[in-house]
Amino acid sequence: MRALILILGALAGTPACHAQVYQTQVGTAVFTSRTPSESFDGTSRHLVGYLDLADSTVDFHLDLNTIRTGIALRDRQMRESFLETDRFPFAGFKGKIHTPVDLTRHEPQSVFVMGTFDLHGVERHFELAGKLTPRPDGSLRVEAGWPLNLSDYRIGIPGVLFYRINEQLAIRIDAILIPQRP
Amino acid sequence: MNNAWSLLTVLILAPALGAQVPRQRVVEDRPVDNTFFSNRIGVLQTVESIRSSELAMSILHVFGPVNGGVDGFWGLDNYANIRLGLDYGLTDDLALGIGRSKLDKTVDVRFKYVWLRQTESGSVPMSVSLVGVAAWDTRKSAPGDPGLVDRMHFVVQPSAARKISDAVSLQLSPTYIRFMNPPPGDHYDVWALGIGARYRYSDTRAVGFEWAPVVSGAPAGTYPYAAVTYEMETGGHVFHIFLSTGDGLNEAYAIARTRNPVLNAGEPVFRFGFNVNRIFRIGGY
Repeated sequence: MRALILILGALAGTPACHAQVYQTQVGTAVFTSRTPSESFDGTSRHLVGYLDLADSTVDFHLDLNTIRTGIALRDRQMRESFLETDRFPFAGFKGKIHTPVDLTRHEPQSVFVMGTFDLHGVERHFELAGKLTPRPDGSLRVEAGWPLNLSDYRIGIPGVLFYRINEQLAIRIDAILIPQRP
Repeated sequence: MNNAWSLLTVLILAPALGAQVPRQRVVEDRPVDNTFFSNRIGVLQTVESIRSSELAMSILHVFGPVNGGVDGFWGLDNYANIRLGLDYGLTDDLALGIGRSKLDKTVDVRFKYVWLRQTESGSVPMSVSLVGVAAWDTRKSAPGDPGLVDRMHFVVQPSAARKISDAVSLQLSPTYIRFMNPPPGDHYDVWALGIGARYRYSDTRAVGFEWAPVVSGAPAGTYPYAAVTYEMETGGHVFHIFLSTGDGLNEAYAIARTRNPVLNAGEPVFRFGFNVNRIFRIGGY
C-alpha cells in the first residue's frame, strides 16, 4: 500500500515537473472579406486555446456567435444564413506542432502545425505555419494567418443586392497563452 | 483497494482528459436573432434596435392611390409623402432619432429603448421595447395660427413581440397619441392597438403585415391604417415595398390620419410605397 501511495504521489507530481501546458488568457480571431464594393472585418475576442508542448498538442476553438462585424444586421445574417450557428456554433482546430520550440529564446519562432480544422460541420485536414513567441513572463504568444475558402466548408453566400462577401476570407488569430498550474 | 485503483486510473488519465478544452458557448442562452429584419415593419416600429454606434438612415416614400389607374400611373405620378430619418444607437438598447416628413412638414424626434430581448431557451419569452416621439408641424404660420407647442403631437408606443418560429413573428403595439391642438370636434387623446406580423420565407425575404385600429378617440373621417409589406434584407440594407391604406409615414399620421378605408364603394384603395433602410457604423466596435 505504501508503494502504491508513492506511485500515486509520483504520478500526481508529473505535470508539475513538465509544466508545459498552456491555455489562453486572451485570444482574438479576425476574418477579413475584401470585395471591390465592400470590405469588412469580423472580430471575436473569445478565442480559446490549449497547447501542450510535452506532446505537441494544439487545440483551439471559437464560439462563432461572438464574431462582430460592426453592423448588427450583418452579424445576424452571418450567424443565421452563412454559419448557421444554431447548428454549428464552433469552429476549431486540433493538431500537432511539427517543429521544435525553444522556450529559452524570447523571440518569435516559426512553427509548423498539422491537424484538422472544423467549421460548419465540415472537417478538413489542415497544415498551418505560424509564429510562437515565448515571453519573459512565462507566457506564449501564438500568431497565425491563413486563407479560408467558404465553399470548402459548404458555406453558401446568398446572392443579395449591395452586400458582398468574398468567397475567400483571410483569417488571423493572435493569442496569449499562460502556463497552467498542475 | 478498488478505490485506490480508481484514483490511480484518474491520475493517469487526467492529463489526457484535461488536454481538451471543452467547447462551451460564451453566452449559453442568446437573444434570438431577426425577430424582424429591421426596426420597422412598414411604418410602425418593431422591437429591433439600432445597436451601439450604428447610424440607421431611412428613406420612406408613399405614392397616390393605385386605383387612379394608368392615367396616374397607378399613383406613381403623385408622390404623397416622403420621410427622411436618421437614428443613432447610443447603446445596444437605446437609440435616438430624428425625421422629417413632407405631410405638414412634420419634424419628429424620438427615442427607442429595448427593455427585454427574447432568448433562445424561452427564459425571456418575448422582446419588449418602448418608443417615444415628439413631433412638430413646422409649416409657416400666419399671425393668429396655433403656436409651435400647439402644433405638436406626442406618441408613446410600447411593443411586445415574439419570434414564434424561424418564419413567423408577431407583435402587439398599444399606442397612445396626444395631439396638442386637434381640429375642432376631434379628440386630444387617441388610443390604438398596432398589430404586426412577419412571415419569413427565405434567409433574406419576408412578407409582413401591420394594422393599427384606433380603439378610442378616432379623429373624424379617419379609418384604420393597414399595410402589407415585402421585405428584402441584404446585410447592410433592408428594403420594404408595401401597399398601404394611408399616406402617413410616422406613427401618429399613419394611425390617426388615414383618410380612406381599405374598400371604398367596393374598390380597394391602396397606395404603393417603399422604404430604404441602410445601416452605417460610426466609430469602432
